[in-house]
Amino acid sequence: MKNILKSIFALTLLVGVSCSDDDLRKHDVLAQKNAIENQADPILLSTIITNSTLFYQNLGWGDSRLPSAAQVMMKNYQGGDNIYSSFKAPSDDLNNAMNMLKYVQVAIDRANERGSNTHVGIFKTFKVLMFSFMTDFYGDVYYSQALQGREGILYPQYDKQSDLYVALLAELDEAATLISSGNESISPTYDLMFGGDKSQWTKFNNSLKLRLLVHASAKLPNAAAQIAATAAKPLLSEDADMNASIAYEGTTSRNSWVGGSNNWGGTTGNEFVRRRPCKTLVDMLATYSDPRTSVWFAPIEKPWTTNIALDGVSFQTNSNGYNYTSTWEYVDLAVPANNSPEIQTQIANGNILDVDKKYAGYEAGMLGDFKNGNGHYNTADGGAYGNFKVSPWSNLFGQNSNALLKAQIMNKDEVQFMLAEAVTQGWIGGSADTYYRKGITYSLKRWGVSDADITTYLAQPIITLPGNKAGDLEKIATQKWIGLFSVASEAYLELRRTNLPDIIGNNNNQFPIRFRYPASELGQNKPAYDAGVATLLPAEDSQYAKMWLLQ
Amino acid sequence: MKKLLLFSLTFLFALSVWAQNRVVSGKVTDLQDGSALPGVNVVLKGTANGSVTDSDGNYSLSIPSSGGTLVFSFIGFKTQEVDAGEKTILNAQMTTEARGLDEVVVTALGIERSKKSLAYSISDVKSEDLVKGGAINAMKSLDGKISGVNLTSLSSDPTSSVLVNIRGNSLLPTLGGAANSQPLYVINGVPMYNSTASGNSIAAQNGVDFGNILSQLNPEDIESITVLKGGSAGALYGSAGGNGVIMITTKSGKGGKKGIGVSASVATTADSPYRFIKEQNQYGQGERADSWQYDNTDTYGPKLDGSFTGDFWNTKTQQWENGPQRSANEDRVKAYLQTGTTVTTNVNLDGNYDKGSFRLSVTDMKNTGVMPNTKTTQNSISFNSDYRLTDKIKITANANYVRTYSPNKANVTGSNSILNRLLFNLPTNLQPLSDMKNYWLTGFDGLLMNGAIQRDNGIDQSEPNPWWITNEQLNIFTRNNFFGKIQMDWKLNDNFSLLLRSGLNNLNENYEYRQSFGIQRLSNRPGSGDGAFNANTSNAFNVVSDAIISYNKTVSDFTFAAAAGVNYVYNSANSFYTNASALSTPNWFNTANAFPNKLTAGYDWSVRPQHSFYGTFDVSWKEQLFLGLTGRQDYIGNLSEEKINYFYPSVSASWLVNESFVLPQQFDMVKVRLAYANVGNGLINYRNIDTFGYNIPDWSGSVKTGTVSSTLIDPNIKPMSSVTKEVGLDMWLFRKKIMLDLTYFSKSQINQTGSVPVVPGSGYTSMTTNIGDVTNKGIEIGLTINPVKSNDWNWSVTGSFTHYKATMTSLSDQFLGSGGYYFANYDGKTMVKVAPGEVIGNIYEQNPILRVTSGKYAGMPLLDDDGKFQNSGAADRQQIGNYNPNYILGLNTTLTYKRFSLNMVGSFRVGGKYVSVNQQYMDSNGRSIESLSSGDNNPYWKGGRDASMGGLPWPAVGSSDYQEMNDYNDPNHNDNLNDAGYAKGVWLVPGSDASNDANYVVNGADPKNTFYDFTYNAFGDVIWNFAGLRSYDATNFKMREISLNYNLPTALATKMKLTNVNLSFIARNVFQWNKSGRNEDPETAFTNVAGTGGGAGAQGVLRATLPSIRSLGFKLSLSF
Repeated sequence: MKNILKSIFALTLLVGVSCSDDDLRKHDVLAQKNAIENQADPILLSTIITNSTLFYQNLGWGDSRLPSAAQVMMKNYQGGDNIYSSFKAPSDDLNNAMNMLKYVQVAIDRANERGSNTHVGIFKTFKVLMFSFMTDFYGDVYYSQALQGREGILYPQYDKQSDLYVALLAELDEAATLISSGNESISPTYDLMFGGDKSQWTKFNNSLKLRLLVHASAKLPNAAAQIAATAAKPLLSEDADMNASIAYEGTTSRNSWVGGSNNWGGTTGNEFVRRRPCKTLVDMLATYSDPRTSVWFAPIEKPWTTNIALDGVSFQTNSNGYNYTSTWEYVDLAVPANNSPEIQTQIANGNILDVDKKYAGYEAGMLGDFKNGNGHYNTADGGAYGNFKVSPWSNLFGQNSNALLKAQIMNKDEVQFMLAEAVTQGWIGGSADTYYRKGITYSLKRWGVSDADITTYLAQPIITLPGNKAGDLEKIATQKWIGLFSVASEAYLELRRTNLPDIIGNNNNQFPIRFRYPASELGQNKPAYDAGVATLLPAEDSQYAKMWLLQ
Repeated sequence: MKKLLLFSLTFLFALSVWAQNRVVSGKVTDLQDGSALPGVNVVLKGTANGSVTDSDGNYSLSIPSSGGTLVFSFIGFKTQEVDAGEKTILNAQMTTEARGLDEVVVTALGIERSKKSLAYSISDVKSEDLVKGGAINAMKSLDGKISGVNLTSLSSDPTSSVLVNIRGNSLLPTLGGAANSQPLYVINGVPMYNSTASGNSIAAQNGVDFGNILSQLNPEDIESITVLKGGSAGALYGSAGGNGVIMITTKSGKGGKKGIGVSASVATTADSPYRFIKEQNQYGQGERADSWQYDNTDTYGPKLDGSFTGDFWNTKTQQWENGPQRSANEDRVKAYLQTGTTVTTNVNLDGNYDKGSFRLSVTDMKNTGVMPNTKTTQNSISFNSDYRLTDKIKITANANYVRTYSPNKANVTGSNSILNRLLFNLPTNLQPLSDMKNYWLTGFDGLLMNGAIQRDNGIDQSEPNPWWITNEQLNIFTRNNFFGKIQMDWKLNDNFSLLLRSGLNNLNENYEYRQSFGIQRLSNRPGSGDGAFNANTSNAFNVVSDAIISYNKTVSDFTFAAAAGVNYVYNSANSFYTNASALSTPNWFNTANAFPNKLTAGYDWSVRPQHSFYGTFDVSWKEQLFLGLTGRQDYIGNLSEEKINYFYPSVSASWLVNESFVLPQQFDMVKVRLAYANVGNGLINYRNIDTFGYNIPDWSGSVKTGTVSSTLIDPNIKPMSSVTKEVGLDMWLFRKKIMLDLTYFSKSQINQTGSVPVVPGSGYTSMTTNIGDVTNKGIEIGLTINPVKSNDWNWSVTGSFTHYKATMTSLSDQFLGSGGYYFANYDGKTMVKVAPGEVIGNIYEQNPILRVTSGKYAGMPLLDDDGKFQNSGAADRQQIGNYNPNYILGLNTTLTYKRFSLNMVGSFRVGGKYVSVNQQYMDSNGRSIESLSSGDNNPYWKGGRDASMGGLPWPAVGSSDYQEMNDYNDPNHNDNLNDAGYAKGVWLVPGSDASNDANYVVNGADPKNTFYDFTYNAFGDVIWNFAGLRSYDATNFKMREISLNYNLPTALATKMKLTNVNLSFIARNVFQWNKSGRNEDPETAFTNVAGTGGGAGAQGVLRATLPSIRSLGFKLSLSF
């Protein structure tokens, strides 16, 4: 009996109290904890590159707010982007940018610990990029007190935009010095943007500085001198395909172009079909007989014809490797009564704008409704999401990946257009025409246009700069606006700065000139928010209030 | 099973051939009133030879010719031993147990204490009350039976999880609410920590509720459930007991008659849904009554009287047809659901001997759901035994194995549920569900869906066929749970005794999700595959060991009891998942078939130790004054850098007034009690460092990308503590004809720890800090009345009353920032406000309607330039209501007549509000009755779908004095169709002075100066954004159980060689009354199954849940 008792007693204690450090995996737990506190430079780099390019590409295409405001893209189905409704609500993009900046900040810290100066310099360049996005779109934002939660600054004050611009430019210089001073190598695989080529990073840094200087050219006292100094440095140019953009892999939703099957379901996806080229853009390209038309747009499915002989006649279009079938539909504009009642209504409402055309856009400033687009009426026949009278986007934009589709921050054609403007404004010397034509050439090449077609295009009289300052500026701005297609954030900022090309009438809808602060700033950071709002003109957190840059 | 029965029968025969010498018989009566006592156990002492009195109190028993002692025992009466001598007639008179005060209850750590000495409120429910209603879930059968406890079922499905809130929820709304304030469950003295890999007591995957781990406990195996409500009662469990403790004691063979006993029961119920939400069946797909529109599922389209023709895909003939479209005229949910069945079979064998006892129980439950193609089976084996090694040493062992298997269970909450689709997305112009049963296109089984709603380009469906979801989206679940303990009680001497106990719980859950091809368009499959396959496995293992030494001593008028113990807990858990979000070839559900780049996998593990010391000290004086002290010290954390310890004290006192003073005879007992406890929630020391993670999947085959975890930890964070104070009164009157217990409590949860959003500019999205304090005050009352007690009749009524109100008392400045309050998202259209003085459970609208603030039109909605209501922003948010009831009344009554007994349980929840997301979707999708027409007195809009529904004529083009109105009305203008309506409000002429009343235009006052819209916009838009317009009173009464029980006369049973035969008719959820008049069950108002994410278990928001389910059935119990 005693033995039984003893063994039971021992058994109980054994199960109960004998958990050793091995059972508790203490060594393992500690090792895991330590391991997740660091990350290697190449991964920090690939992460920052992908995060920021995808962020910019979302602004440029995925989110239709800025493409609509830049009159590049309209929606033909619900939503108020066509009439700037989405600018009414506070925008959380500031928070999205901060989420990325948090990563950038810890990356800078880790790379600093390792003495990876080149990486620190690259990361700081992205830091400036994100902060410049924040201030360009909102006005005063936090910068000098930002990212210091660990140091106890939970409610950072905003910096004045005028101070911010100076500080960002200085930080860019500091970044440039770090890039060149570092002696560690950059992983060619993980550097998704420039394949490990350090000199390209310097060029990107300088080009970004030029972009910021141009943005603030009307406000910075020494802008012209700074632009001249920066223009003399190496910029994104010449080298074949070195843009600040990355290619899509096309295998997962994150690494695919948003229009493809991994995100919007490809060319038949609802979101794809709902978005249409804007009439402003389609017409502008038509004016220039622009070869990018067939790259970007698909032919209208059932275009209007005023030639009764063509009624019901189908034709094929093969562009860029994609095949499209279209069928003409007759409309008698001279005698409306000759048409069916539905078409008569469309004529009476003044909806039929483009006839006898292969490509047509959705008119800017119209409510997002497929019935508004160029007299589309036959919804029962299947034009419910779609619109048979307005061009869809070309099938290119329904791919998960394609050599022509990039997640873009900045292209070298933009640099050329900035230089062309700088010459015209008298900030730098040289030939505006040369820069202008280079810019056009780079953009056309980027979209796969052949050299022969480029030569033809440039030979057109309409391309020639008129030779007077205002006329030159308008031509340069127009080509820049076309070149910034799918980089809508910059297209919008430039349109806001220059009002060129003169397209922002938009059916009497007032053009919004900034994002409203996120609601969380009002709720949790009110003193800073109030101070930020106070510097706007008028001093209200409205999409129409002018920030320092525009005052 | 057969073998077991055979084995049992053999025993039965062995017993019946016992040596017999004489028959002794007699009558057993109640000493007080002389009434006969049926059902009294009569046993020859030291043997298994026994009998039971019949309805007249008579018994007879064969015993040896001389000597022997008869033992008479009966619940509620003192056990009596009578020397049989040579007698053949032996009558006995039994007395009620001395006022029932010697009743022993199990308290924390399994320490047994006399009920009279307790200074805190506990509730216990005995086995007979648990099994009466025939519920398959022990937790469900508690409802309506105890005060201070709010039980809510996640769904009306009989196998669903139950959330238990003891004395309300004192957590701040940002901390997850009800789901995170579940009590600690203790089975046979061993805590069952919520150590599943999912970190929650509710296993939920893909919105499917597979039932609580505790919901698997079979009521037949439970001896009693004791609820320790306050902090003092549960203080010995430390932080784990902060939300109260539910102690479950399973049945043992102990106390039965000597020898082997066998009993069996079978219960079967039919579960049928009722109370379906009413929807309109008159209008079909489209936005206006004159044209079809097939691109979405809104039903604001043409009238389905056959006058409108259209193209439609005939799912039966599988071709496009053109013709008049008619209404399917069916309630989709009603047409979809079926009658479910539940069959529970239990056999148990118990043995009782001088040296010990055992009980073996085997249960089989099979449930076929009310949702087609859903099933659950559950098998459990439970073994309990105790053995006395010596007079002083007793060994107890308990082992349980439960296996639950569901070949498929459906998602019943949220937007992915089939109910959601049936209610909101399946327009009534589509065919009846019975015509859609062939859900594959002929010749393309497993490949192409015969969709309910077709797009124009042929076979691509935009809304999955409901039968495809039913049969091709399967949630397969298996749970294996083994738990048990071994315990030794050693009475060292008269004063000291030692208890050693070690329990373990091993839980293994396996989940598979299989989705066939059919969702992706054919053209997309080469690029992205189709179908899906997920497999998750999680394992959790914990061991809890205690060693307790206790000391008892009586010195003159004082009785001392003290105990000291040490506790060690070891938890380890791991989980593994693979997720193929698309497959390459159809019908092969295997990770190897994953579509390229669509396979992700993960593995996670954790280990958690905890050491504790605890002690209790109780002293009583003259059996009338009692004082109890407890203390516990917890040492938590694994690594030395994490380690931290906390001390939790409690003190309680009670006074039996009736022992100190001579009270009038009517008072059986009067007890006053006071208790205080401070328990906490352990918080280990965290590292305050950024940590990195990785994006899954990688950017490409050769490039990885990372993430950073940006949570900040407040360096000054303090552990949460929960301070409970309670004062109570227990009173028994008129020889226990009236028993009342009353408790007032206050529970303050101080320094609640949570993650709070911080200004993104800080570089962090959230910070873990002490958010604030909540104080919860409440009253609970239990009242039992036995108004009738006679020979044949016995009637008792038990009522419980529960009321509590939790208020945020103080909040961290860091959390509130400068604004003084904070709104947290709730369900998308509603919010919760976090501010001092705010009551827990309050829900606010997210979007308030912008109204005119001053002048003649003050209070009227201010319309925008489209004639629409506008959102006025956060500052104007109004409270919609509080989802908690003001009080809960539980009613439980038993009426016994001879061998019949009728038992009824009902619960009445008074007050509270809920937001119906059903109404939101039905309105916006044009399914609600309200969407047909504004009716006469609608305060928000006027109009209707067409002239027959009160639609207004459109004004002539360009007729308005204002360009904005013409701009808006003219594109929609339609001479042929009276389908205009308008929002009720005023419009300020743009650019004019808002302070001048003359600048306002009242919409609708002048038909030409009115912003019109068709119902789809005029009504649908209003209701969509403004949640305040669809909140309803949650007051309801539920008849939870009605059971009628008949006990076969002993004589008759004996003839059948049985000792007891019992037949019950069972009805559960027989009816429900809602004050709102709506066919929704406010109790099931949860946004999702408590799982992950911020809205976990958010209460008060009801969406697409099952209708009420009524269960009718019978139960037969036999014992040998």
